[in-house]
Amino acid sequence: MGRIVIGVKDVSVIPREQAKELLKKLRLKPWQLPWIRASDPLVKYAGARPGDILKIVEEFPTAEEVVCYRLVVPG
Amino acid sequence: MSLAESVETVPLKAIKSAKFGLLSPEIVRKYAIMEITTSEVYDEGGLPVRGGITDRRLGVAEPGARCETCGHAYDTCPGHFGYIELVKPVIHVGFARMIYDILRATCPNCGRIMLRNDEIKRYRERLARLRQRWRLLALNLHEKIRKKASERAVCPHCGHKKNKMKFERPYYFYEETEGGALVKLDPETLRERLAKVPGEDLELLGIDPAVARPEWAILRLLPVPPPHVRPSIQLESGVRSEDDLTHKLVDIIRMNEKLKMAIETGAPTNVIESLWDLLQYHVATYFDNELPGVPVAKHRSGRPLKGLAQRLKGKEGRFRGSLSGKRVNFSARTVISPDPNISINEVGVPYEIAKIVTVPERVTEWNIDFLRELVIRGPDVWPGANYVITPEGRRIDLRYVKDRKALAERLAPGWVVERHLIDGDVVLFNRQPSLHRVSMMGHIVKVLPGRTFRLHLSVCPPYNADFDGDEMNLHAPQTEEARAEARTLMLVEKQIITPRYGGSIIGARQDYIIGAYLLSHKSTFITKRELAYLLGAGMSAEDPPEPAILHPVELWTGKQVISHFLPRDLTWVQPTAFKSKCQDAFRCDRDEWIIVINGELVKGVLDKKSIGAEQIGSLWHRIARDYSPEVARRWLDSSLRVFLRFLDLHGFSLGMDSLHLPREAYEEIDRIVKSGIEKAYELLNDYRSGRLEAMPGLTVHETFENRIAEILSKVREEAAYVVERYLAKNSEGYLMAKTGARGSIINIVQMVAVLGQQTIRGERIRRGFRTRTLPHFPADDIGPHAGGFVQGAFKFGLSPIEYFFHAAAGRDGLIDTAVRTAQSGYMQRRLINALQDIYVAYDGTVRFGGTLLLQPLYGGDGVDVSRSDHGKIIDMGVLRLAARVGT
Ligand SMILES: [Mg+2]
Ligand SMILES: [Zn+2]
Ligand SMILES: [Zn+2]
Repeated sequence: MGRIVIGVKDVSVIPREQAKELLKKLRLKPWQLPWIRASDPLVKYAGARPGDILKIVEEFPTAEEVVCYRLVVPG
Repeated sequence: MSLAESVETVPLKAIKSAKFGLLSPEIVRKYAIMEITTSEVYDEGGLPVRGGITDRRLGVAEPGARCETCGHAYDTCPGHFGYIELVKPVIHVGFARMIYDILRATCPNCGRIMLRNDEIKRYRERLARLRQRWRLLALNLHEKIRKKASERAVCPHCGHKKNKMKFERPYYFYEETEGGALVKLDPETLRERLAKVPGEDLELLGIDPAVARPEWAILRLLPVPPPHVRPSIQLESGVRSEDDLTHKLVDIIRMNEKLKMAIETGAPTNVIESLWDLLQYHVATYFDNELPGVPVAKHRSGRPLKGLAQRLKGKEGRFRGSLSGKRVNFSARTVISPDPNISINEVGVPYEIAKIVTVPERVTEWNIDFLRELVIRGPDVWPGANYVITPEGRRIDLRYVKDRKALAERLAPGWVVERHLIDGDVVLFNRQPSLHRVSMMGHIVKVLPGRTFRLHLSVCPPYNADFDGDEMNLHAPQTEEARAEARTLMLVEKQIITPRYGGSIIGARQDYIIGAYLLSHKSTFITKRELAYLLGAGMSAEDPPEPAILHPVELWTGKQVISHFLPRDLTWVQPTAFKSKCQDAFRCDRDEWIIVINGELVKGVLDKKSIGAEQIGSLWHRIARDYSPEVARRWLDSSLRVFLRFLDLHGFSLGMDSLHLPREAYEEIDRIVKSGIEKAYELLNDYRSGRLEAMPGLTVHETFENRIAEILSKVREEAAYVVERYLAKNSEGYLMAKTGARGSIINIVQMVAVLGQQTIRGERIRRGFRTRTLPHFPADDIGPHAGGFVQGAFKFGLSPIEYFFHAAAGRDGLIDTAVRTAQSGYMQRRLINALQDIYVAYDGTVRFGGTLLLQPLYGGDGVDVSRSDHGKIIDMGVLRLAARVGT
């Protein structure tokens, strides 16, 4: 596992329990999150499997740290 | 029973989901009230033929007649479908591709999908799993299954060896035999094959057999829509004109009859085939008359007939023309013209329009006297009223009320009066193309004489409006809620900071800037009379300031007038456009820095940098950001008026003497131009003799072009430097360029010194004749003159050759803009279509159409740009300044 993509600061799998809470807070079903394919290098880097929710922290020039959540899907 | 009454008796149900499928022949027959059996339309008496396409059993669409099925008149009969039984089946063009896909993936012998049983089992399980959790991913799997099945040549179920299929758009299918010959497959064969495919196998391909059996895409029964869908119109001459669909249906029936006859009389196969093909053609163009590779079906006049697809497609189609966009009431459109005396919040509305566009006002005990007065004045006198609506909902048209006084007496709380637009009403104002939020803003009505809409010059930039004939639209909101929204969200003063980049899109421009500069100038003194005039123009309600000079006459400075309108607690420091030597604002004895302390402009001249629109860190941006929209608007309204009135008093005009340069200046410019051209020719010599070395990544010629462009642009730069040095500092041209009111030093250089290099598509001019740009040059001349370098200037005139190059470059610019607007317009349409369902929810998340989440926090930082300092939440510089000045 080498470097991650430029701009992405951190990727991690959210533990099941925390993921449930997050989805409850956002009032979402898992599939309503943005998706990311299991074949994506980011997913491999984080060691995530389909059904997991990734927390991706990116760096932007306008907003220092931007968090986004992605659902890992097969493929 | 009217339609309005019947609505209440219709049972209401909420739509949970919609599913699209194909009409089965059973459903077509079940929905139909009759079969169309004859191609005759009207008999000799002009009456509909029974069993024909205009049969009264299908329903009636014109007043007077009664439907023979339901007995209702035209306004309540819903219309009833019929059907045509086709002698031979034809393909539904819209599903030809689907038919091809299914045929390729299935066995022509046994109808099974071309997959082994274990594969089928595996895919079924995967589909079941995906349907539960990843419904959208199931679509991809169907595609994968189809591809896999299509690749197999031998059927795993019956061992049949499948021939390759070929599909030729729009509706021809062929099979390739062992010999390589193509055999045409007729729709009957296709239908037999499709009917064989079992339902479970269709499910693997993503088709629900309950609502869409593929053989239903081969039409045997064609539904005939009722006349409501294809009404005939009676022309003034009494001639009846039928709808395009009716014409098309008649064609289909005729061809069907011919085909039937041919089959019954035992005509040769090729005759039957060609008639069948014609029937297919008519049915296909009935659905879509713009099929590629199919001749367009035409009306007798040569006009192309409108198929069903043409009714829906495109700008004028049902979706874009009738559903997403339609014409509306309570709106007006006319030419716009400027009015610097109204507020930026206002819009001038002509009396003629104010008397037609109305606002419904509910009668209460507080406005009853006012509304009675309006009703009495009636529809023809402004301000009046056009309609009165009783509590029972009856609309009374005041044009036909004889005794309006009596009606006004009957007015009581609960009635509604549709009164004329009056001063103070809020309306929406819009100019196309509506590219961003501020293309439509709320304005306060001011009814004025004249026939144009009047708007303040400062609101031109958001609309991108000018007054060379531009027209704009006005909409009067019809509910209290809509009016409240327009006032609190859309009003111009609330849009000063644009959501595009957090800067003020509204601000001083052109005349205002030069007026403000002149007023703020150190040498400007104002008499008592003038002061009264200016403060009056600014609508000041406060006492005038003490004079700056008491003896021998009382005089005020221009800065005092400006200060008079500034917010009392405003403190601000910024450099002006004239900043040169002063580095410290507080140790500068010239007007190079603006210093405002507690609303007092103590130093500095106003210019575009301080009061113009879109300026970062400017005085105006501070006023717009740190005070309420209302305060900012009032400052702009009154100060701009003052600047303009002062400019009136002062006078300002640009003439030839504003562009005067002394002899030495021209000598210097001549030297610069001459040496530049000399250098260009030296370079040309180097290039010709092969001494020029290529720069990295470029050819020798590209290197030459780069270098020559560099040399010639340097000529203009150096000339600009000379012009700036010699041009009188108080000349109008210089002041306009320097303050940012209009134009730049480059424009002045082009007028007085050199026009410079002309370009086409960003390159020196090189096209024209075979070996040269114009016949006036020697062959292969690529020197500065032949390449479009203009040595002349506007003040002294251009040579004919220079003039030609200048015109060519000008035309290139025009073409470029035209192409760009067309391209960006189309891109805008597609973007807006894709993004229109995105919204920021109340929890700060960005969601799509109420289902998908796009961003957990709007923009990643949760900043509303239109409430920000150029995208930042706060401007740190402002805080530091506050600490420095100590307020
Ligand atoms: Mg225009
Ligand atoms: Zn009817
Ligand atoms: Zn088979």
